[in-house]
Amino acid sequence: MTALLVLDRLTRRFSGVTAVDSVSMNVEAGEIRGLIGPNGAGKTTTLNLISGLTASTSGRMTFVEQDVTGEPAHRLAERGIRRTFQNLKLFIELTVLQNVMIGLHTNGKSGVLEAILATGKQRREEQMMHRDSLTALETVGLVDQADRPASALAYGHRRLLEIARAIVARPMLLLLDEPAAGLNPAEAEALVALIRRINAQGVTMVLVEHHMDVIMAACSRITVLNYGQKLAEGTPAEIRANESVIEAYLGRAGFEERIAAYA
Amino acid sequence: MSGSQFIELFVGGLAIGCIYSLIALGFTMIIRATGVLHFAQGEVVMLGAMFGVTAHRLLPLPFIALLVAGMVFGGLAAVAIELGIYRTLRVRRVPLMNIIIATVGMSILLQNTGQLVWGSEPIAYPKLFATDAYSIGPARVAPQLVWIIVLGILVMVLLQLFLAFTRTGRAMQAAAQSPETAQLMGINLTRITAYTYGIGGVLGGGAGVLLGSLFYASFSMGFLPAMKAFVAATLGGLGSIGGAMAGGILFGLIETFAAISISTSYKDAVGMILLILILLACPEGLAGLVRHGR
Amino acid sequence: MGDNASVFKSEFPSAYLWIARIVCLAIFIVLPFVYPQKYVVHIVSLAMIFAIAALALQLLLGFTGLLSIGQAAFLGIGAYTSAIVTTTYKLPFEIAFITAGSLAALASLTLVPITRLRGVYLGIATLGFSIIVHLVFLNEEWLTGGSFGLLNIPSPSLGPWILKSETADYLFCLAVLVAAFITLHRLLPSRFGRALQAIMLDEDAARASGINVTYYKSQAFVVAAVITGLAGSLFAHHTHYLNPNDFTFWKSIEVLLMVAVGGIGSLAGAIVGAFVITLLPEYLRVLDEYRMVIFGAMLIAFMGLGHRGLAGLSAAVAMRLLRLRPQSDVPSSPTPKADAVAGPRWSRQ
Repeated sequence: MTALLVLDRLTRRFSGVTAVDSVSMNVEAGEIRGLIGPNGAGKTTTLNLISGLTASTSGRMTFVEQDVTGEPAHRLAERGIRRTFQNLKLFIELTVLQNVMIGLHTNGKSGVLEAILATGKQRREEQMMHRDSLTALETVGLVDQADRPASALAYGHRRLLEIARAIVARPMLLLLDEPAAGLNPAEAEALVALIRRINAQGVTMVLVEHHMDVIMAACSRITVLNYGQKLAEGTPAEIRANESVIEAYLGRAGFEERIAAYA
Repeated sequence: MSGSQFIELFVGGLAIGCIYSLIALGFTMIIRATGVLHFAQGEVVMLGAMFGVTAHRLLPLPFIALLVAGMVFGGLAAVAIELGIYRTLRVRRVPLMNIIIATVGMSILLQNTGQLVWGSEPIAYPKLFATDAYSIGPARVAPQLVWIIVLGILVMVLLQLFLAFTRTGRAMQAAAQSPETAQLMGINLTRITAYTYGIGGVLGGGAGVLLGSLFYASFSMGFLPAMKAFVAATLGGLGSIGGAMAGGILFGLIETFAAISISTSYKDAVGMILLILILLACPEGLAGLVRHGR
Repeated sequence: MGDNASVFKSEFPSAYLWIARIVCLAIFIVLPFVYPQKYVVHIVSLAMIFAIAALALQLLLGFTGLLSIGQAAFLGIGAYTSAIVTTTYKLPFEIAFITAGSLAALASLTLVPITRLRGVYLGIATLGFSIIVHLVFLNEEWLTGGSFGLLNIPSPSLGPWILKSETADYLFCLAVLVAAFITLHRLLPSRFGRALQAIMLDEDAARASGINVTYYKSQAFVVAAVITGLAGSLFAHHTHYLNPNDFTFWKSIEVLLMVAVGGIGSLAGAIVGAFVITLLPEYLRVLDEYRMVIFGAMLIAFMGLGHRGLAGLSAAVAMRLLRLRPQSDVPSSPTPKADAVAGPRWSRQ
């Protein structure tokens, strides 16, 4: 049985810079895959490729055994790939609830005519979207803020809102781009718990993070990128012990110091 | 087409093209620095033309002096508008769209003020050039066309030198690239913006005098040339100085040559369709093509 | 709290807003009977017709972030279509009315490729479109009568009733305006409306949520074109005479002025703006030759009101009068980020 997501030598070149260099990766259904690497390793670009925001220069991508190479972002979102963003991309002037309801866009069918005529079908659809959005907000713990403007939310809650918007349509694959950035330890712990809760509902996840505690605690397997290339892949324990990984993060000198510190 | 005909058309197209370039440069510099589409640029052109011809009525001055007078007045008027009106709006933190629409209001205000001050009748520019036509090869060319080309190119060269070699010019370049960084380096953005409008006004005023000497001066004269100059600036690539110059001259040439071949009333439509196609294919215009070609 | 279609939504409870709307409607219904002078009825009818066009532009600009400086093209297409159907083909007004909206919609499909342009570039392209369409009106004399104009356009009719009197025509225009308002009022909080606002606020996030941005932008143009085309039809049968000069790109700019002055993002604002831009030059006639100078100056002054325009100003005044405390916590109308409309700075493109 093939993996849920298969990246086959996926490459992305920007005039002169190869941000992602022939990366191959198999993400199994149900796993939480960590994607780590030093700054500039190509992690966010990889997420952009998977979510369709950026087109690949070469290579193939398969999702649920279908070749989806080159499909635009909204098509991939329809197929069940959702994501959050490194620098938060909320619809800041809309309410918390409205933000989440936009995540349900693909679950609806009402268009212009149905809206103008206020058909029964449209009203039922709106009620369904309303209910499901509240459920998603409950999962992340924001349901009591539903009618507040997104701009009124604290930073940590904004991150949760983006997650709610991404999970409301029950995606098959959820890409999280540095969800723990800027969170304090308590919030980071809550985030790990949330990630596990979402995963338990059957959502496969790819998690880009710098926060090592979160990665090690949440992920079942980890892929390490460096300079756009895959450096290593394995369980958290294997990655922790991997010399080239440590060297990539800390450099040779750092490696020696690290060893000295543990000695 | 005979050789002499070609030369005559070429000179004519180059002359009007230089005028378009001067106006286009004004558009481009202002948009580069502030993001504002300056709808009132055509009225600055008109003010320059009007001041030039008014100055001549007071004192019989040589053409160069009128040109300088028009440029100075255009520059001052533009700076006054920027410091008095646009900056006031910016300080109130209105969205960019509002400032652009304010320029529309300014255009209406200036055009109608021009009509009040100078009347509705077009005013002819005095004959300031030798009546004998110059001979270029087999062709005979009106001297003022040649003067327009020479003066127009001179002004553009001076502009380039100013931007490249003076402190203010380089500061303007810096501010256009990254206003925040420029501020951090101690560049006074208010002053730089005023200079930018001022230069746009100088160029526009100069274009007005040249245009007036070619046709006539009237309160509504600036509108159509400014529109065409704007199309030229977009074709050359909005935000690119070289693009504005090239776009203006190219547009002038195309327009002059097209006038004899496409003598239909859809002449303007051709320009518009071309504009839309270029926007679709390469929004950065010719400048973008050159940049990507490297 | 409040409703989604108004810049007032954050400040006023729904009930207040609806009371205000009904009061305004009542005033407009009664107006032609209180001021039966032909001129008054005529000019207010015109203002209402342009208000419909302004509402359509509000959908594009205030709720999708699309700067269109080409709406006059659809006004003209609707007007000429409706006029030709009734005068040349002698078909009833109802058919002309519907055909006007449909042809305008079809014409808007030519703008689909342009939807991927952003900010001012989109504005320029729509401006070019407006110029091209105007040239067609001007040059195709066999169709439109060119600069000689199209004459003897009949009054609108509904079934057996011909709305010959100024008042009847006025009430019909009012009815269409109300219908347009209700239509947009229903569209905004719907799935369609949410998609548009998502596109305006963050295109990438909209895509990532499954919204086909090009499709929805095109749809927005089509809906706006239908509404504007219908307004054009009203215009033709109201003035009984068409001239290409009624649909120059300057008219496109005027519609933009209406939305900007009234308040970007407010349906009521679009209507207020249309009334101001249409009626102000008339009021200023007393100033004779200074009329347009003052108009230009007032336009500049209005721009100082910020993006919430006159509607926002009225809201602030009303709040103070009604002694309502501003709710600090509540959402304001989606502000088209300056960049979203006017485009990113050139050096960064």
